[in-house]
Amino acid sequence: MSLLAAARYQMAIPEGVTGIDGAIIFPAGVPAPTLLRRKQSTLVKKYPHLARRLLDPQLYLAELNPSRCRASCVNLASYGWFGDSHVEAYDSKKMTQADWRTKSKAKIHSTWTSLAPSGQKAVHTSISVCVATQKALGCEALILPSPLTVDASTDYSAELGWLDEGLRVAAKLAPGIPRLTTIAVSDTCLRGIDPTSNSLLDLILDQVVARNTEGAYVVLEQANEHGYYCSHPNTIGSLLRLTQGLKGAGVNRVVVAFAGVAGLLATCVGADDWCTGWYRGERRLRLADHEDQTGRANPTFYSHGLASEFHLQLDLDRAVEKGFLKRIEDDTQASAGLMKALRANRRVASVPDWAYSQSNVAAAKEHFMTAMARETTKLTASGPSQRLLYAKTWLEGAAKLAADLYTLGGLNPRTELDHQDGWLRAWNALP
Amino acid sequence: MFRATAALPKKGDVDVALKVYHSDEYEERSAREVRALKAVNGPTIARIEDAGSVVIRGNKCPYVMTSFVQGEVLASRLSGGSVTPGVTAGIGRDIALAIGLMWEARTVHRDIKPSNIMLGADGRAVLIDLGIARHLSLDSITTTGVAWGTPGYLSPEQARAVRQLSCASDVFSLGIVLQECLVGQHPTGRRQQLLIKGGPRTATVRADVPGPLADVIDSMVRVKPHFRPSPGVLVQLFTSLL
Repeated sequence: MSLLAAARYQMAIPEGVTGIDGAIIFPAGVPAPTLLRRKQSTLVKKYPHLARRLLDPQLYLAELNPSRCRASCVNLASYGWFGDSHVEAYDSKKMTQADWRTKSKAKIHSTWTSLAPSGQKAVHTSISVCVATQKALGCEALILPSPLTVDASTDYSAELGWLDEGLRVAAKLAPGIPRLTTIAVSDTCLRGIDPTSNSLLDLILDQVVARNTEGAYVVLEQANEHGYYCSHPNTIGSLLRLTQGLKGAGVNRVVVAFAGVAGLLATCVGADDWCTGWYRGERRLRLADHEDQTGRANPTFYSHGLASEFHLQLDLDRAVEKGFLKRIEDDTQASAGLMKALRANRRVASVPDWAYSQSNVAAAKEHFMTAMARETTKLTASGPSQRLLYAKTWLEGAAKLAADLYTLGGLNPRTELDHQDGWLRAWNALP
Repeated sequence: MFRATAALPKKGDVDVALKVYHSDEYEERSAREVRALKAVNGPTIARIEDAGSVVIRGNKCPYVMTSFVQGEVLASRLSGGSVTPGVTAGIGRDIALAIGLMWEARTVHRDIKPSNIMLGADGRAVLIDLGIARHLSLDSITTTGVAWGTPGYLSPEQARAVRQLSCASDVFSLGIVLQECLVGQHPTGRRQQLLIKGGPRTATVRADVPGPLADVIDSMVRVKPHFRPSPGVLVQLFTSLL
């Protein structure tokens, strides 16, 4: 079982974090000229966790709006597997990468089609480029691209067309490299239906398992929720059911990405790897997150006992004042100073690394990733029945704690308290 | 709707089965059958020999010609009673092999039943009559809400008229056929509604079936298709039981 870090333009993991076993590179966050010009040896030397790496083609982002998501569209188009969506090739003799990006962003609205390639030839070409790129990058497995599933009544034929062509191309261009089938589903198809009777999940499981690929790469789009934590029990239940079904049917490797902390929960039902980062765009898949923004992040404090984070302007101090410290504390090297201050009845603002201010996020990032690595390591050392017990105990505690914290009232929405009960209900409904 | 008959083809001296469709409705299905079958070739599956169309009474009628398998239809054999567990395992191996070959071409037979299995003179079972085999990429042809196949042998998902079936559906049907082989009669009296939650346990239809064989067949008739063994795994399992 592994925790994989999300790798975009910034590929470094916070200093001091151990227990991250690899990375998934997301093209929407790093243009091809930047990624591909880095030598593999240099890449690994600079970022050791990239010794084990995957590249997610992110074909499920084909419908991004180029007028609002210029940076992501330019990055994606630069790889060459989005069909007619294209950008001018970068030539280092003619311009700098920064100039190339600026020029490409200015034109992308006229060259990005907002459609996945279609037609046998276009799909074949797209997949061929995609597989060749992953092979050249030295990825340990190939993630076969798939469009996003947004229609609950689909017959899944478009996705299966991509998958079958992907299997053919991979067998020819990259024999011997394990292949992971992308299962990218929008929560629009999941929220309204009990996961145990969702025929789309049955269909996906049947068709993917019947193709005998070496693994599956599961991504859920969070189109209908705004938080960092997906809260709907049917969505989380669907993630768990997919994972459980794939593993139960003998699929060798299941990787879960963009599920946030719920990815850790998926490992309790058999997921082999899960991927996260601290930033919102690394934790959830939501097309609107790709809109060009200039906002900066603020720090938050992750409490594993709560399975959530605290907004730091007022919320954590209020919770401590009301006697919740013992239940919410979470010790890591990065949080040691904060914990010490809170135990001494000092306020968050007195700890510079955690003071609520824009971009003061280094400690928050390190703490979050350390906590996620810590829990992953704990689960790796556990047997299947221990993992089930871990999840149940964790969620029961988190749901109770969230309910108790509600009594404080007036908490910032970033202190998310809605998902814990939904996760517990999804867990308890598992067959 | 069509007739199959033995005939001598123009080229060579191989007996063939000829299926002529008498309705435009079947033309598309016939064309799909041809495409599907052309991609499939193996010792336990009927081989396509020719295809085209003929004019009968002024109507253009497509036809498909497949190799004619000499031997006895399994349904006929079972009318005389059950077969031994060893013969059952052999049929399981051969037809699982055929299902696997069809699935490599992303084709599902959709009508596996005793009357579509021939027991050849060489002792091997051969899957015939792929007349309703459907090439899965041609999804638009399937009519929503209509289940093709024969009641009593349909997988739960096929009975629900799920538009995309996988080889797991054929695996289920084969499991029912194998139970019928062991008992000499259909395990639920061809009542499809009794298969909604999966097939019956093999031990309940015949108590003295060797445990390992019963376990394999039980796994084939599970309600969830992704929990059924793949054709490749089945070939290995049945081979180990022979």
